[in-house]
Amino acid sequence: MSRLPATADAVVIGAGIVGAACADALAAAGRSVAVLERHALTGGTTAAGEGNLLVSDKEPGPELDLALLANRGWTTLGAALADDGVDIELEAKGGLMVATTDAGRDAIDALAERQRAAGVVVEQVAAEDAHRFEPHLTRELTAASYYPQDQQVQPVKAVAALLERARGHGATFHPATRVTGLHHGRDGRLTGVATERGTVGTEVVVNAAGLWSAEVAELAGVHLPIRPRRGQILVTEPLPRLVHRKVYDADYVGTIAADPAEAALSAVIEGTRAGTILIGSSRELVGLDRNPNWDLLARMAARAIDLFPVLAEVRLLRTYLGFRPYPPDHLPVIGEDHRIPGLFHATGHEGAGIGLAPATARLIAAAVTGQRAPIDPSPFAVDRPGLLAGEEAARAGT
Amino acid sequence: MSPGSADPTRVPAVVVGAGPAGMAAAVALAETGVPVTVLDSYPHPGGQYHRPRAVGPGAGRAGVVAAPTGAGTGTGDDPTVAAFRHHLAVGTVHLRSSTTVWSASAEEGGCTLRLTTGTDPAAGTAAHAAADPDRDAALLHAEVVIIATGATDRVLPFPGWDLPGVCTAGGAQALLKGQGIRVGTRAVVAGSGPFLLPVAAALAEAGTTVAAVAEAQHAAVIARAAPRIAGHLDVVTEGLGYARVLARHRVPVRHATAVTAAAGDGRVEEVTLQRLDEQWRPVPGTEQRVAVDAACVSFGFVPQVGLPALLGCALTSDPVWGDPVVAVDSHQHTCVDRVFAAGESTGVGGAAVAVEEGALAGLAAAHALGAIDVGALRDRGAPHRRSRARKQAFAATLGRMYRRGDGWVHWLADDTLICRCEEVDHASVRHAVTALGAVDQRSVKLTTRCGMGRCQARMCGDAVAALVAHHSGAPADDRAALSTPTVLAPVRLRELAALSPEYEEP
Repeated sequence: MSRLPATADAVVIGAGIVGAACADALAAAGRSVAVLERHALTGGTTAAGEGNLLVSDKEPGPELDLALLANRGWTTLGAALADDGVDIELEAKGGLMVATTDAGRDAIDALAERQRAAGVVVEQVAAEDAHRFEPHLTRELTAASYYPQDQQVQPVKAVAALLERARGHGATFHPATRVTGLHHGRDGRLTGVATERGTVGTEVVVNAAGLWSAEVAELAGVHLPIRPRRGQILVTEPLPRLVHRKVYDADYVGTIAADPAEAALSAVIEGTRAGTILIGSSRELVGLDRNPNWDLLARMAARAIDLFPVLAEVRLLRTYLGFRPYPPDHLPVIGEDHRIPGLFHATGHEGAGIGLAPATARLIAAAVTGQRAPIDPSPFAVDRPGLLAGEEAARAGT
Repeated sequence: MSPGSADPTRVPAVVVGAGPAGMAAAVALAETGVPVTVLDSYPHPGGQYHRPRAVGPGAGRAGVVAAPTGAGTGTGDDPTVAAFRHHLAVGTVHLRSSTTVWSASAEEGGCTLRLTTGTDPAAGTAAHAAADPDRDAALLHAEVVIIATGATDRVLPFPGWDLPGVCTAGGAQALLKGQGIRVGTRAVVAGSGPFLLPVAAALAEAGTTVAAVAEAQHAAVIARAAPRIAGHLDVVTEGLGYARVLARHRVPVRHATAVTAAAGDGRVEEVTLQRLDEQWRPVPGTEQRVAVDAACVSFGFVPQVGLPALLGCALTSDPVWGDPVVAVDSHQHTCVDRVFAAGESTGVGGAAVAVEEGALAGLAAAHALGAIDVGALRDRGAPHRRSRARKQAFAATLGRMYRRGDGWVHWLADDTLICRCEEVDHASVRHAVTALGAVDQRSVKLTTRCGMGRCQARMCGDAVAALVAHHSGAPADDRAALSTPTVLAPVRLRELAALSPEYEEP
């Protein structure tokens, strides 16, 4: 919590997982970085997630490419931090996708085939063998497939570790520092960031403000169609490990891309190192309403008990909810805004921000430093057809 | 109102909590002809204040107190208790004991309360409620709700506070009154507030050697406000009564003194008593070790506001104690339509204030249901309003006498546990605030797990807020604005699942 610097090579707005990863990558590339955060670290979506680092839930395409790159990034990061004695509870626990219907079985098998072609490791598991992975799983399965690359991290610890590492490279972190304006010169290039506590001169701003990234864009006078999509999670009392991996209902994949106007749910169940079991997940477009949807939560509990009958007697300790930064075409927005030179967006990851953060940071660092990107960044560009145009179409339709 | 309705999950009025405020509210409502359902998490009604007494040492010694609720020498001949019993007997009040509201929401036309039965979460013991499946639904829709959830002991951590043998003053009293069990043979009673005296007196009468009563507040601070209570003869008399009991047992009462550490092998064997300055910072060189096998330590009471917060009731900061309390108007009405609150959840004021507030809430709820007109509301409420005003003024004076200093954080060691559920120590909290930039309570929780455990920060929340303020140098969080837990008591997943129509028992 140092004083605001007069100038910085780059200002990162937002101390969630994406902002922390970008700060870390830019600081490691030798840039002087100031991280500005309106509240404290992980005040938005990051802390409301399960810490999923998944490849299993993605169809082949740009997001899966990003996820595979990020997955390797997490493994490297976890090892490097462990060498420094920092624990972010990274666990390569693997995911098990299960189906209890014939339709679910067909969906699982077809998805596995498409993903394998794109480089995902998928092991087909006979339905009757699934309990070898998860002894408490219901015996009434029709299919299962195992994704050894799926990992888990404690997102708040990861943010703290990334920020601390960035500070080791000279970055500064400023909590409780709300951004109030973005200055630009006559040529349109950014020149600085105004905050409640003073101004930082800079030519590079990374908008990693997640849920608030549209507001930040608005400060620069540009529109960015990021909306909150709500999710809820159930947390049980701590127990000796009952669930060893991440276990997904077969229709989890379908849910992510489902009609956003409908409340959707699909069971995702996993144990944490703290001993609690997390049960997700739901998706609703209800603005920033914080009143729990108990009907959805009840259905989530019912589905979790279907898959793990042992959970019926386990106690619920708390629930929490969060808001995912949701773009209309389901792809994150990563790269420089063609309308405002110097303004880079790193947002719109919906529920996958933690998983995609390291790859996002690499794309941002490449874009800022002018290096070659590790994968093609164009699908994530602000001026892609599906984003701004998609938003206009959606507006016209309503 | 639908008193004859066949649907047992729809009732006109629910009172949550059967302590003094809840009983008074139920009585007032029932007397207007409204059928009342009272929910209470304990096996027996009465709250901490009227907790049924065991037969044994110290039993049967009663006095009328106007100290904070829980000062607990309430009696069976209390008029509120008698009226409540009458309404139970004639069936105008239906009591569901050992029933806890684990979640709730306010909707158009009333509130939905989700209930779990069979355990007593506060006491952690199995309870034996008489099963009445027709009336004991897991879900209740109420047209009006009166919140009378009371308060819990305020705990401030100190080195060794997690040792067996260290308990709250309220806990020591509950053991003694409820089960006739003494917490130890040689004890100190410490902390702050008038409640320490009756607890120490009861322990002494029960045969425990009370080595000292340590009141953190300076005698001069108490004395400054003392003239204002001279008019409350009953209370002064009661206080003198405790003082006489303590004098007879040769119990020293020390002011400006705190238990700043407890030590022992496996359980508490000695405590350190230490002088405090006016800000409650321990004065070096004044430590004195006292051999004990029990330490009862509490710093007043924290209002329970989980339920009202869930229902969307606005909270406000108690002007005397700074705790989040439910904001109510002169009719005990919260900002949520048809939701009322009375007693300690609206600010700690003691049982005498609580019964007046309860009666007013009951009348206002009856008016909201159309059972009485505005004239009756005014006339029947008038005596209660007068008593409430007088007693609230008294409670505020007590609050000024015992207002706590913030220097207590200096008695914490690095390895003192702050959160016992998740075993988070002081150094971890300080690191989160000063090194990680976790400058509010929420981010401390997220970075350290402090407050994520079974008690959902009910025990440590207060201390964490003070530590954040202390280590960040920023003013304390507006705790009234903090998000509250959505689950008020642990509940089985099948109980949650059963709220879904599609659910089938496995």
